[in-house]
Amino acid sequence: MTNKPLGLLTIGNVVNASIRLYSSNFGRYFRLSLYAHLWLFIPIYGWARYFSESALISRLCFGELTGQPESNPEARTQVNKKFWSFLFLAFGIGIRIFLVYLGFYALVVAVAFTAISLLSDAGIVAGVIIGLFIFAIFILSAIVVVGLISRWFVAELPLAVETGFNPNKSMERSWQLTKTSISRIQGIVLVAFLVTIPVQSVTGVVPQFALIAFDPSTSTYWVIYAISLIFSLGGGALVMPFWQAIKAVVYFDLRNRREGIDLQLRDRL
Amino acid sequence: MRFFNQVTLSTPESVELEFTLAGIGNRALALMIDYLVLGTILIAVLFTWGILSIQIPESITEQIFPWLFALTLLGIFFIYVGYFVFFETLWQGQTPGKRYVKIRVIQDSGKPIGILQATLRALLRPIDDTFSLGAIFIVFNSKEKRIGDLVAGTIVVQEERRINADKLAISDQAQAVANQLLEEANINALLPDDFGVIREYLKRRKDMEPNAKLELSRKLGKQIKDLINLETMPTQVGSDLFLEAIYLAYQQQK
Repeated sequence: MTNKPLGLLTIGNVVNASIRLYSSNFGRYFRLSLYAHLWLFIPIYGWARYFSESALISRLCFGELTGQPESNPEARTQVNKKFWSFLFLAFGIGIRIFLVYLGFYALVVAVAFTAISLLSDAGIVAGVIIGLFIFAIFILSAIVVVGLISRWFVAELPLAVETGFNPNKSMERSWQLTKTSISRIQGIVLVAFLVTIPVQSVTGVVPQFALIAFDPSTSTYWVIYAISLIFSLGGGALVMPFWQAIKAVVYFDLRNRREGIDLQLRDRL
Repeated sequence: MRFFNQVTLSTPESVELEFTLAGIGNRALALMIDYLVLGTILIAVLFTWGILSIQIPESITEQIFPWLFALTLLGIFFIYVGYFVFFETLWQGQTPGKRYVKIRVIQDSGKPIGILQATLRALLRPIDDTFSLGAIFIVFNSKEKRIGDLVAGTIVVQEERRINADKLAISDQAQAVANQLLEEANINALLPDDFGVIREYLKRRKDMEPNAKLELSRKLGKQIKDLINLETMPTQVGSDLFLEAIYLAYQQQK
């Protein structure tokens, strides 16, 4: 069977292809994801392991997309060369977003304090204007943070699939590739999230409701608490490969759009 | 590995039609858009209804309140069902959301749906929406049918992407180079697949990164040059112009 090129993908088809990737390799990816989640219980090393195993799943997905599938050990050898980098990358992105948030927070506090000291007796109108201003800053901060998350959405991928990348370079690469696709990525994330709702409602929300029904002083409560913990861990493990597949497909699609990596003339001999 | 779910339908005239199923991603996006539109309509209607009902004297309102309330609920239900029935019937299986996402509901036989199928789908929609039952059905059913689709005998497919050949921007000098190539080189050696790659490149190049674009066009140009046994590249012709000329020459070859 000829391998029909995927072409450029629409928002819905990015999600479809990711589901297809995951369901075709379900046992394999889910097992990797489950072990990765168990590693989370061990500080530092376990966390690094979690991030590198997640990157491994993305790498496996990318291999399928480019028609060069790898086995787990093959892919792990490559990913483990940068074992700690994935933790640093996650940390680097986290801290930047946190700082931006902090900056906005400081701005709101500064505005509020100046306003109070200057306009202590200015009345309702001034109060309303200041309130609106602070509200506007909140909206702006949400837009900026969501924008940043979109720009770094595929930052794991260069690190996981290419050679010669470090966390900073990988973030730059993601920044550059996503330049013209910010709203598309947000659309993809929104639809992907909608699709995971059935899973999350079973594994996350239902156990919470069960907990409300019981009294924390009884032992039943703690049994259900343990069950709900296992459920949410299982739910996390179930959903994670899907998101890793989404990232791989988005990265693949962005490179097709921006660099045409899929435009190859056939080898003829 | 196949990334999309294909179905082949054979019509009574024994013509085989191949469709790509819409998939949960497209359907979720379409539904989200439809619910936004529907929500806006409902808010507008309820707002108008609210203003109108204030005009009724209070003495009357007290007596008929349960009726008004029931009427409102019934109205909401009719708008909800009516929205999907109206658009899917009028636009042959499309709603505003589906139109935006470029998917369409068709019958299992490949025929366009009518008011009967649209109504069955719309009436079963509340059940499909409960606990995301429909989404679960779509993921696990081989033809991606939610309960409404199973009852109405319908499937949801992607619309064929039309290739707009005429929309490609080709520079003026390309024709002259193409004429030269037709004489000097063996354009016949190019296969439809090669042509497809060139066309795809010309279609996408405007969104590419300048450096990556240059590198790709040079690589493709060099490969094409070998394929068509061209001795030397025409002078003063950049790789982009060369590929444009190839694109024209391929279509004009005898």
